[in-house]
Amino acid sequence: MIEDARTISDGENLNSDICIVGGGVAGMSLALALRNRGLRVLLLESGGEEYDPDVQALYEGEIVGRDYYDLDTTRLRLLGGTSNHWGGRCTHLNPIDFEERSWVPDSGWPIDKSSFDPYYEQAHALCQIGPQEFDGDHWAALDDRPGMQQHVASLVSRAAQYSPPTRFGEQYRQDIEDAPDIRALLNATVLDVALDPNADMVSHLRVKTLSGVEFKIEAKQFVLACGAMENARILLSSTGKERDGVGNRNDLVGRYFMEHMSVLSGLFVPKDANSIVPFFENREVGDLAVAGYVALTEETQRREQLLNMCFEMWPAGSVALPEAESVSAIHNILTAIKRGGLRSDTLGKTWSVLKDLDAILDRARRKLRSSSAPDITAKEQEGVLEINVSMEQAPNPDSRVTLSDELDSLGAPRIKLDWRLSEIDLTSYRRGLEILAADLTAAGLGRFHMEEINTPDGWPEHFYGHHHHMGTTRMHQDPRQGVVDANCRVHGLGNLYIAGGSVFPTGGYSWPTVNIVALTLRLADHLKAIRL
Amino acid sequence: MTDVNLQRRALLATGAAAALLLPTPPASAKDGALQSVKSLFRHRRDAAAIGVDYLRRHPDEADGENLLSRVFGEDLASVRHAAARGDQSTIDAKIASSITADLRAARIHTYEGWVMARAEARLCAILSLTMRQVS
Repeated sequence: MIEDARTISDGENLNSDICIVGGGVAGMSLALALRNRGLRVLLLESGGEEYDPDVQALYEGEIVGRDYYDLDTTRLRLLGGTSNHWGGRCTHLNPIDFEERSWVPDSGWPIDKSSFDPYYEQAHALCQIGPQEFDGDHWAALDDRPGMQQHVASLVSRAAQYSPPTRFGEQYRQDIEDAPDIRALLNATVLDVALDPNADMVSHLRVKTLSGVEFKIEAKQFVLACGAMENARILLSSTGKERDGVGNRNDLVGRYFMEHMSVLSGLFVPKDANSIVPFFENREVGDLAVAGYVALTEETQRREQLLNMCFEMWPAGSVALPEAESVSAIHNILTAIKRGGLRSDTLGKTWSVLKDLDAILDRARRKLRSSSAPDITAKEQEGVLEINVSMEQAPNPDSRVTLSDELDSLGAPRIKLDWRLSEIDLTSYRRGLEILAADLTAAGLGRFHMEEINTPDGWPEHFYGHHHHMGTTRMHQDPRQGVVDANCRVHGLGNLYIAGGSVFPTGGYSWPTVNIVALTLRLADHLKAIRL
Repeated sequence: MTDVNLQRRALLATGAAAALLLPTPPASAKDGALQSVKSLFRHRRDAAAIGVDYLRRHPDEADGENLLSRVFGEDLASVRHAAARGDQSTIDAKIASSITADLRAARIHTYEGWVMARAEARLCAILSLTMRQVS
């Protein structure tokens, strides 16, 4: 059933077996997975069923350090959570993402991908995507498109699947409503995680509504599922028994905040756009939307000691860029395209030299392969592509969520976000892009023009986060290195768990939602197995 | 006289250019080798600019023989023989092989944003050296 917490009597004590804090992707997936097990599940959502600016304002916060999105726009506080503005892209984490990599400080999960695998089938169903198939050439072949694997050596052909996207609040509201063992309370914001006298168990949660109703919730098990920023905020602001916050004896809560970086990185001038564009196109195969991409192979990552990353290509100008003062070559070329076409002279003198060299290569290839070379002079003006890099961020303890001195309308400290990158992020980005450029050029597919970088921090101007918040309550078997253990239980506390991307010690390049769901379903199995 | 002819004459006029492909070439082979070098680039001034940039960043390579060795490695002798025979297709194949090997290993040079194999930049550098000699 679904209730409005504002109708609860002030000062009331509620009781359940499992209390889940957060009605987003992780919280709703967990509640649904715990149905029909004889457990009384209480699901708390700070928002309602519709967007409410007063509730959303609880997300406002302070940004220090690296620029970032406003904290009340990068998340949504209503039933279904941030799935309400989810783009729907789904890929699995890769096996290497779980490894302790010598070149990535603080990398390594205490579990590997095989721990996720049993849960992907159900996660796919919840996210409304297709089979567990992410081979780019497989999906290309299904509708007679050219594959990419034949062309590349340091890269692997991959595909992403797109959820409709599933708005978890809309899609699963009725399931929650109909479940006799789930009680969902809307407009219920957790302000404090209170510990028992020994500080080794959570005794209750203090909950408040914007209408002023305040009540307590007692449960046998508690799960925070509020997203990486808010999970940290709740723990850090719960200082009744622990001066530095719950689960924070080793000063790790809020640290290691990570994003996926998205960088518009350059242009690719293909010899024949038709041989490459269809692979990357977002299209429907049957009922499923898919798009191809290429990623660094695990061998390439190991050899070059790089972070994981992937690359997409889109026809130039197809993605709207924010207005900027840029006078980069990319902007000049895009402007030329938008004004009605691309002539060779727009590409500059170097382009002419590269054409000479390509002609030599084509002559040689023709001789070696006894096949005809592409007509580069006819094709060069077609289909200039933009390159977008999506990449892993290395764990960085100084990239962190802390508490601001400002309070929200419920009296809770707001968040202060200090997003920081590391040197390996930038060196990986640069080298990864070089490898992409070299591999595509070696295949004779075209020529690559890198974005000129004139920014003080060395990153291209068109640099964004994917709104993928991870890492603030990272998983590690050692309490000195992680907030939760391999079962997502907070170290030192017998009945507090965390669900969502905040437990990811590393995030690969993979879009996190379906992985968050899979890990949450694993947590559900763990909770079911506990004798309550 | 056209610019192309001027440059061709300039190339032919320099012993340094010949030395790039043929240490002790017979006269007929020298012409063939120079033609091989020249045929790489129709836009020689622009190619030379790439070469100058490459040598600015790699001053230790500013020597024709050194550059040729780096481009062709163990194939240099056969390239010279091909040049002597006027066998352009073999030279093309060797150049293509060197370029592809550099690209597959991501050994690249970037000029004005354009990404090229280091072998390509070295060929431009050879051209720039020959042009420097005659200027």
